Amino acid sequence: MNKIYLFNTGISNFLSVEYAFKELNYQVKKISNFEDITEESLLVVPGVGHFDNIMHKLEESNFQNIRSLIDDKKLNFLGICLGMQILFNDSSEGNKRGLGLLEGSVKKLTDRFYDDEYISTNVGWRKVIFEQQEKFSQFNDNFFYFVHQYEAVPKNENDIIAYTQKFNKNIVAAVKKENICGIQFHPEKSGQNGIKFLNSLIKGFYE
Amino acid sequence: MRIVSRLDIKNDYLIKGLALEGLRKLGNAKDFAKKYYESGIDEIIYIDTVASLYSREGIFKILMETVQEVFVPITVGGGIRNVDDAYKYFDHGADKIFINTAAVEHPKIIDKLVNNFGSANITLSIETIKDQDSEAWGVYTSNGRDKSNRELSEWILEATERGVGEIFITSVNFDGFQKGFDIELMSKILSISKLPIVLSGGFGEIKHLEKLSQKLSGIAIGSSLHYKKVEISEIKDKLKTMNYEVRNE
Repeated sequence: MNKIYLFNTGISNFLSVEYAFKELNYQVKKISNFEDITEESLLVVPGVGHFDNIMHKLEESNFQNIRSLIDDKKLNFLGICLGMQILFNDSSEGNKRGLGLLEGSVKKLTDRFYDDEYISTNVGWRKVIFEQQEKFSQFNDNFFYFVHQYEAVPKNENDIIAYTQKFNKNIVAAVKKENICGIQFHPEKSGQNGIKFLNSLIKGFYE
Repeated sequence: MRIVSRLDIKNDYLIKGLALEGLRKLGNAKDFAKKYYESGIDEIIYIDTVASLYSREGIFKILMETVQEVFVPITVGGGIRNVDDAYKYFDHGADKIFINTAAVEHPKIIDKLVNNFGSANITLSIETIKDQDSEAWGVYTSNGRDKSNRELSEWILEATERGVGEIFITSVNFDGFQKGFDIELMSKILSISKLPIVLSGGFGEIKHLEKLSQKLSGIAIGSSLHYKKVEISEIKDKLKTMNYEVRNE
């Protein structure tokens, strides 16, 4: 197994993420500067925070230095919650540009969910549907914990690997494109099932 | 529907009393949290009842221990006076924070917290009592001890405007009595706010679930779990028969 780096955004619930990995017997190394990554590895960017805030932190931490590692498929990227949202071009939460590793935008839930179908914060345990994802079929229709006010709207539908539903509308729950993966819910806070899912996810990168 | 276990903390201890007056020590808070996690609780809320009076070392210690073994969301609050205090809770393992007293006194703190941590991770805790004469719902702070000059509807509108992501509301006079939820308060808040609402105070037995609204995001339970009067699985089974979407593993 290659190294797992956990990016310390300075804001996140990184302890929860760190212990979830420990539960799986993976040692993670916390980093706050991307210059420290020079070898094949998995980079995890946890959630909690504000879009502009985390983008600012990524800029300060020399994110540009590892773009070529990601492009060359030497570095796997796993973003959780806000860590997923920054993969896209932009977000209506803030003014900064996202990483643009996936095409699309991040939009406020209330843009699509208003009046009788109002959702400001999608918070709680929701069933996640992994459509045609053999790797994750055992998790199909399982409950995972969500807490977010913004949602990913990928340009390319093929990037979506899982969704959840509210009022018969799909909300993106996970995206994946080659070595880049983003999860809207919190596997680290979704009970033992979430931990198992995290394990499948990590293994999925190295198959 | 989320089942949230409410743990009121004093130093390292879980305490529980009546009407938010926590008088009785029940034991190590982390042990309770872990037991509830293993029994299928959906979320834990740690309420540090003395953080604003003394230091936070006790709650930090509990948090650090809990986060190693409990893999459901842990919401924490009590005594958050500024953005730095909130950072410290996150640094010690919180997944989400709540505020009450500081927000009531200086509402601009909500804007600052939202700009740092995002709306979804900021919960507004409200302690309320209905005034018997005027029939107005008063907003209280410091564990129901102090009455503010705010009224419930007006306060919720302002806090929502400033960006809180959800509301955790406690009916102070129902807390700890296990006589059933404050249904009048539930109706009132659901008519005021479209934010996710977690209702706290009064749960004691399974039949109390029958009067709940499908519009609630969650219910918080304290005494009846601490004193083993009900099991989490019984609560979930009952809610399922009432067609609530309830998590099972």
